[in-house]
Amino acid sequence: MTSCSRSDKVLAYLTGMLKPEERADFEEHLAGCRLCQRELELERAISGRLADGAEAPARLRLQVRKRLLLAYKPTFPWKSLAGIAGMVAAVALLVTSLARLLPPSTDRQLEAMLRIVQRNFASLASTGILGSWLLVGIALAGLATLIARVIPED
Amino acid sequence: MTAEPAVSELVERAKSGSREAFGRLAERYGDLVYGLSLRIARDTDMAEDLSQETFVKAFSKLHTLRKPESFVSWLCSIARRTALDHVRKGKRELTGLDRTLEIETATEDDPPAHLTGSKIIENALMKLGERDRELLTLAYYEELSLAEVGKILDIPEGNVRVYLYRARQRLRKKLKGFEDDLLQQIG
Repeated sequence: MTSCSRSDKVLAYLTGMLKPEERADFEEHLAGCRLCQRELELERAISGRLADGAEAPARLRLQVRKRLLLAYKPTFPWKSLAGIAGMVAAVALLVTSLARLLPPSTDRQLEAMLRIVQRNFASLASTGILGSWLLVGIALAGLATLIARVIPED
Repeated sequence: MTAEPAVSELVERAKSGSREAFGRLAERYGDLVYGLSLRIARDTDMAEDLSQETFVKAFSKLHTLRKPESFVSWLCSIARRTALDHVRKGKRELTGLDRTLEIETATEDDPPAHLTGSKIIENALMKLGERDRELLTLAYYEELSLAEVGKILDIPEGNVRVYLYRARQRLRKKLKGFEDDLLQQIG
């Protein structure tokens, strides 16, 4: 195949690499050169094919959806609940034990306050309210265990 | 018929946890992610796996995307890193070449006559270096500017055009002997 000595400029022209004066000069040449016109047509065809890109298999979207479902399956937050319950129990224990651990010289106001808390706990227990709360707690824990078994973690 | 929601709207919905919105993004950019994965990994099956992995990673990291309008270039960066990590592990590259490059063994004097224009370009692309393959995939994607392409590929913005010109020159060399086929198919 014969080629024009300036056909190597075609790609530079197409990709915007020519300076304005070179561009104008080349356009003038291009208008009368069949070989460069053919080369330009070919380079444009290549650009078109590149712009078409690759086509993903039709199943890709479904596969992505499936992977997302597997990776982000909703789980029952029983671990968080256990953590919160543990923290609440720890705070309650700390508060009720603190009064006993306090030395006699500790601030009398704080001691009195903790004694009130202790007394209230005792009175709640004596009236059976604390016992009821305990039963509710056990029932909730049982329910949480059941739900955790039904919904697998991952 | 309802209009397709804007990308930024779908991104915002996906950020709030909507898998349906993210599924639409995956549908819209599936070809782009798959194409980039294929051009890097050079294996059709692996490109499919890498595309899935890219979308799963993108969904999990979506909260880190501050500008929804940058979603496409952000997604391309994830796809690129995912595919490059795979290639650098060097597990499947050779088997991929065997499967994908149908004309690898053909000489320039003996081009197979049955190939379509897209296949000719695809095969020529696969013979180029990794950087050229990435650049030629991204630069011709209409939703990406050359500045964004440069950012994805870590090429200074001012040099993207020069890199692109050189990549095209190399591609043209690989297409020697196929000119008439390409021109006939567009004619």
